Amino acid sequence: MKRDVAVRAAAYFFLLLAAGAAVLPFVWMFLGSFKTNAEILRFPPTWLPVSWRWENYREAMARAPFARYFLNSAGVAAASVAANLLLSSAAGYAFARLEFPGKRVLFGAVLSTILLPFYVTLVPLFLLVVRVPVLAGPQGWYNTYQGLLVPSLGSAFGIFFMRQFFLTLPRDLEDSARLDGAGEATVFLRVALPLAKPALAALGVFVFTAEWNAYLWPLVVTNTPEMRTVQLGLALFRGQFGTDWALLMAANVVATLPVVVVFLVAQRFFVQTAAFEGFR
Amino acid sequence: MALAGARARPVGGRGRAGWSARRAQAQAAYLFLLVPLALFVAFRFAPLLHALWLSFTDYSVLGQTRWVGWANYAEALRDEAFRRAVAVTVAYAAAVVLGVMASGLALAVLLNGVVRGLSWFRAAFYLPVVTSMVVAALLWSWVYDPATGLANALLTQVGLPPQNWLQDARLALPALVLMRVWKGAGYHMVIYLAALQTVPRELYEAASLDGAGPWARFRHVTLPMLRFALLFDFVIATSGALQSFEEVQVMTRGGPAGATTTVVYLVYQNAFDFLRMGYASAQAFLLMVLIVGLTATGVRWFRLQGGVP
Repeated sequence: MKRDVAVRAAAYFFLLLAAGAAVLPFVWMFLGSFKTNAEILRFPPTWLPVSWRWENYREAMARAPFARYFLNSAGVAAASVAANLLLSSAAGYAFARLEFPGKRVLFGAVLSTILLPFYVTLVPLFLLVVRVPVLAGPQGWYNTYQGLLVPSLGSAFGIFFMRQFFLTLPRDLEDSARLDGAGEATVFLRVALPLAKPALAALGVFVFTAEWNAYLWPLVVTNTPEMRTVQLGLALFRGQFGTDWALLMAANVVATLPVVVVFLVAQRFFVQTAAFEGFR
Repeated sequence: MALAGARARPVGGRGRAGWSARRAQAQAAYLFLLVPLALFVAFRFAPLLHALWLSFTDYSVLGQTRWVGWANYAEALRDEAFRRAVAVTVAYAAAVVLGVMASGLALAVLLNGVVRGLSWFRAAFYLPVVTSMVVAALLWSWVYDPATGLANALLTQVGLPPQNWLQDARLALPALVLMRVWKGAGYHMVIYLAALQTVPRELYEAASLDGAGPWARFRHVTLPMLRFALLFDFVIATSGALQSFEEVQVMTRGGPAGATTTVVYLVYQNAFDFLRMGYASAQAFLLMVLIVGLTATGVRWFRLQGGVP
């Protein structure tokens, strides 16, 4: 008994230590975002700002078109979420519930690319986007919202995730709807999809976070400030303003807020998709 | 009409009606799959084949493109920069995988015994996971800043000499490892926590009755019960760490003197800085072979350790 208490106390001790280590850099970032440059340069550093300089936020936002970056990221993330929910649920439902010739082959093809690293298709995707001039002028979709959206539209992850969810649903409701004379489209839209709300929420949260945090693709496929996303803007901000840490941390805090809010509101959904995340 | 027939009768029946119902179902399936699969082929499947083709050419955006056979692959294997990048990537991935698996497992085991504050702890550990790699990299760039950073402040506090961190060829890679373990531990913890919650309590009770202490219970109950989670996590962690790019691009640009140049960073440079897209594609496929090879070796090792069929 005594030993169990000691073990539990030790567990809490180490957990608190680890939680401190996990959160400490964020605290450092947050407090740093309010410091003056003089205070940043002070050694040994202070933890709490001597005076809270709220203007850092205004200045950081003014030095680069962050509002535009935010709008771009939000727009692309929203479009990606909408497209992924619609397309993945339709395809996932078909693979989980409908019988058709070629099902195994098609699903095998989708599944086989799920572990395919994104960087392998980076160059061809770039060339593809640059060369859709048939529709979109000499630069194709380079430096456009369509171009930014491209990789997330071909993702196999959502299809796989939704299929796995639909497989766990009982078939009875769908079958009784069919008995009542409902067509396949109605069965999907009216019966299966409403039951899939939790999975759709989890997938939506997942796609939003992935899109909001994306860096490599926006880096490759945009070249003007008007098209930059938040992450790209942040990295370039560092390049332009070097070690102006206070302003950079202010921008960092603002850029992190949306995902942190989504995370705190929808924590359980993150946990649901975590096991699948490796397949991105 | 086939659709009308499907509406009138349940699926799976025999005869004419069953046949038309099946046909209606197949039609619906193709309708549902049309757009998603078209996009999948255009943006995922075709680019893969295109990349393979590129890797056998000297494609460089400008000028004529020639088929060069295995020349790109041969060049990469001789290329000092590529070999160095492979060594850096493997060392980095090994340290990161070990770090995130060990810390993730430790956190999960500790948390599994916790009654109070579970969701708070989990949120704290998951916060670095939802943060973008760019934000994490910028934040840690400041932490590692020799003059104003938290790392040197902590070192001098305990009487150790300050370091140059990211500008030091010996320390830059370990510094990136530390950042990446900080960022990834919570994700791996969630995987282990989910697996731990499926372990029946009775197993621990029985082990305790047999006189097993905490370590023996971990060694003989927890670890065997987690073997699938460990295997899964190993594959995920390894393939992820071998593809590191963002933290390198933001924090060190591959430096100092190539000490943190990973293969994906090299691929990126070859493709978009030097426009050697054929060569970059060959390097990309060589890395993919490495990823498959290393994860397969790891899986084999897990099997030899017993347990995983």
